Amino acid sequence: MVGGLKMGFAWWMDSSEISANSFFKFLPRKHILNLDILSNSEVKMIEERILSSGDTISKQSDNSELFRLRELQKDIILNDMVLCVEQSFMNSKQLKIPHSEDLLPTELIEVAQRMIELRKKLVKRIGNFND
Amino acid sequence: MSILPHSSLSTLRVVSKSNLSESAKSSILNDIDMSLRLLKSGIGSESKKEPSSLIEVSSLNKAIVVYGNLLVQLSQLIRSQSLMAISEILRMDKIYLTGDSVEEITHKNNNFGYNKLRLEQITDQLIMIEKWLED
Repeated sequence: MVGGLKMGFAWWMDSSEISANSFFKFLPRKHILNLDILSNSEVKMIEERILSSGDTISKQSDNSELFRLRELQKDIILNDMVLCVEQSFMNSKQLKIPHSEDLLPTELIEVAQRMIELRKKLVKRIGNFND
Repeated sequence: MSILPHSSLSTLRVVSKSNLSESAKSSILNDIDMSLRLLKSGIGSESKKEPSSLIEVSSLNKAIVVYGNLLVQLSQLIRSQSLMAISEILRMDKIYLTGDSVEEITHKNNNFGYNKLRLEQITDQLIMIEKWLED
């Protein structure tokens, strides 16, 4: 498929280089200033549209848009964490922000890595159904 | 039980309090108190919803929807665990600097039991999608 949809889908869906550290915004890091605004009702609407398709594969635009919105939601939650930590330490030169790898239990980091693997497989599956 | 995976962690840049003057120590303690207050407001804003039941994954459409839900739940868990762990480290640093009783402080904000349940539920749902993808 050479359409803009497929290409538009592929450019941000490539997860071969994604690490848990970057995807889940491990500390310490700087917060992002201008994230897009998320509409929860839009997420719900697309979810309902996808689920109402039953076992019939829903439109790729819906699948990719839901991925985008859920990942934006992830970014907003984690960016809020980064901002909260940044603000908590910004007034002190005597304290340092610990690393996420030291804050999170090993099993939580493993689940984060498995989520990225799952993402890769889902993206591949969506691509196969739309070729 | 502590919420920290690594108990030797510290937010202090100084290696030993023996090198600190009383005024320097007092300044760091003020910074710690300020950081704890700011973190507390961040932790307090998190909603503590009851965990939802597992969803059967029987199609690609459902897998995509469930993946999206899981991603958000996992992000909330990472946020919550990170903020609580930093608070715990700050409290430990405060104990180190003041010489207060450890037991008195460590049992106040222990939510790891709650987080562990959330992680188990996320893992169970993750396994369901992984299994469906393998079939």
